[in-house]
Amino acid sequence: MSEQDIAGLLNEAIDRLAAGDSIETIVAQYERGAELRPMLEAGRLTRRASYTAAEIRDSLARIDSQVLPNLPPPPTFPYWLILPLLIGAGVLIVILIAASNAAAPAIPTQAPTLGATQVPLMTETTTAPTFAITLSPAPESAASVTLFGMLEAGENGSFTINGLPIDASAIASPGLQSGSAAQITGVIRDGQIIASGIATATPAAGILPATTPSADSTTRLVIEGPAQRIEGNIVTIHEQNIALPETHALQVIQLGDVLRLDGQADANKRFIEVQIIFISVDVVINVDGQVWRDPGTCDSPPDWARDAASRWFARCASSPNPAPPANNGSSSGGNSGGNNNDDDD
Amino acid sequence: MIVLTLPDVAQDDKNLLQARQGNREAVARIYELYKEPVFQFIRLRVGDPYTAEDLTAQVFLKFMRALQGGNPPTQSLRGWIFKVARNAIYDHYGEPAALPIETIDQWVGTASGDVELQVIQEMSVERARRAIQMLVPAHQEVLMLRFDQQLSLKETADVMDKDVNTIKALQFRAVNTLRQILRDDRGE
Repeated sequence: MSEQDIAGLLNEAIDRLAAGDSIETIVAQYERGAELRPMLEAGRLTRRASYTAAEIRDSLARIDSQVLPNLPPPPTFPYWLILPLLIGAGVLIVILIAASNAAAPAIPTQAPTLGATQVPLMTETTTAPTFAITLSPAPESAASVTLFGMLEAGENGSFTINGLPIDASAIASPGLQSGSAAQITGVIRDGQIIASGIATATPAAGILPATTPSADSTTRLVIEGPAQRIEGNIVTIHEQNIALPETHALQVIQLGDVLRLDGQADANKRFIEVQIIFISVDVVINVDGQVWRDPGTCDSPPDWARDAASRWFARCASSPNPAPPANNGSSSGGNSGGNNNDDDD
Repeated sequence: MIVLTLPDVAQDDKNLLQARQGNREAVARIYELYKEPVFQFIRLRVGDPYTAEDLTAQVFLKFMRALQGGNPPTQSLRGWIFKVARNAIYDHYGEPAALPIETIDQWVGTASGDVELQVIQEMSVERARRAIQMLVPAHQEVLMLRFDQQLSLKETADVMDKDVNTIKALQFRAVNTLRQILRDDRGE
């Protein structure tokens, strides 16, 4: 074996020492182990020559003082980003709020101010029976009133019309039966109807003649019910042909609409002044005569009608993208000062 | 006997990868793992402990500069560190003259006797240090890298900028030169 071989063996032995074999184990496995041993022992002197921990403790501390201050800095929170992030978040919130306000109409808090021919909105849907007679908020007075409704007999000869008590003590014998449609004439005093006459409501005999109402003798007329017929300005409710003045509401009244008509009418049931209240559908008429009737879809009402479009809001508030307003009003036709409805009949 | 346990290669690779990614803790771990071996390597080579301290600090400062400068070690971490340590010594003391490397064929091996072994095994720390410091730098380096720091043949070759065959010959000569020094020291 050449000397180069012994150098090779030494190299192998050094690697085995590094791997953890003892000198004894290594030399026992080589023929020339006796030559390897003193070389391995001499080489291992470098380990014996190493300084102890105590000898180098101070040196290592001094090295620390030179090196540790130069370690990479720890990652720091980018505080400089806080202000821009807050500003950006604030802008985003403002945008979202503005977008949500633009999409959802405000809940109406009060009915718009209307003239005599304008139509207030009902915020509650009536659940009264068909023949429903209610008294609008009327001033306390002895004003005469004519009511139409379903008569119901109570005890001791008392009557009610849709639950409203009627004082019929002044009537000797009303002769009416419970469940019949009745026409009550009388006065309202202290919130109670003092009947002076009770009669069976009879269907009108044809269409009323187109005569102007007479202001000589008027009475408060309140009638509420579905529109059974519509012919021009004559609306039939509970078989009572009611002549309405020319109003914008006439443009949008449809068969089946539950209406409340409350106003001053003459003996021929021609209203001189009337408040038309749509109970079963939202209808808004603005001061310019524009009329919007809830189409039953989620098409957004015009801006001037949004506050009063409570049914539309309740129906469409959850829609993410309510359709934009098609027009400034919807009308079934007729004279309307500023009506831009495309749905004319 | 002092045993220096170097971190295993897998742990070295993990620490190096994290250090290259800017992980401060990884850099600190590498420093803590290698500061003593590097100091020992340098301390045995240079006479002055304070010089050894400065040179050791230079090694790790250079390491951190290499990380920050985008030129970190990419393969053997400990090979890179000891190479820097070696270069630091040479930069301080100047490159030594080329060591006349005798061919192995010129080496006349002698069979050791029990006395030699006994002397080596019973040698004091101070005598061992004195003997090692009498070696030429290249011998010191190869013995310390191969026996003390337990670097592989390839790593040692990389540190010393030599090929593996030269390292084989060098380490063979180094151990036998050390043996001769010890014999001379005994007056044999």
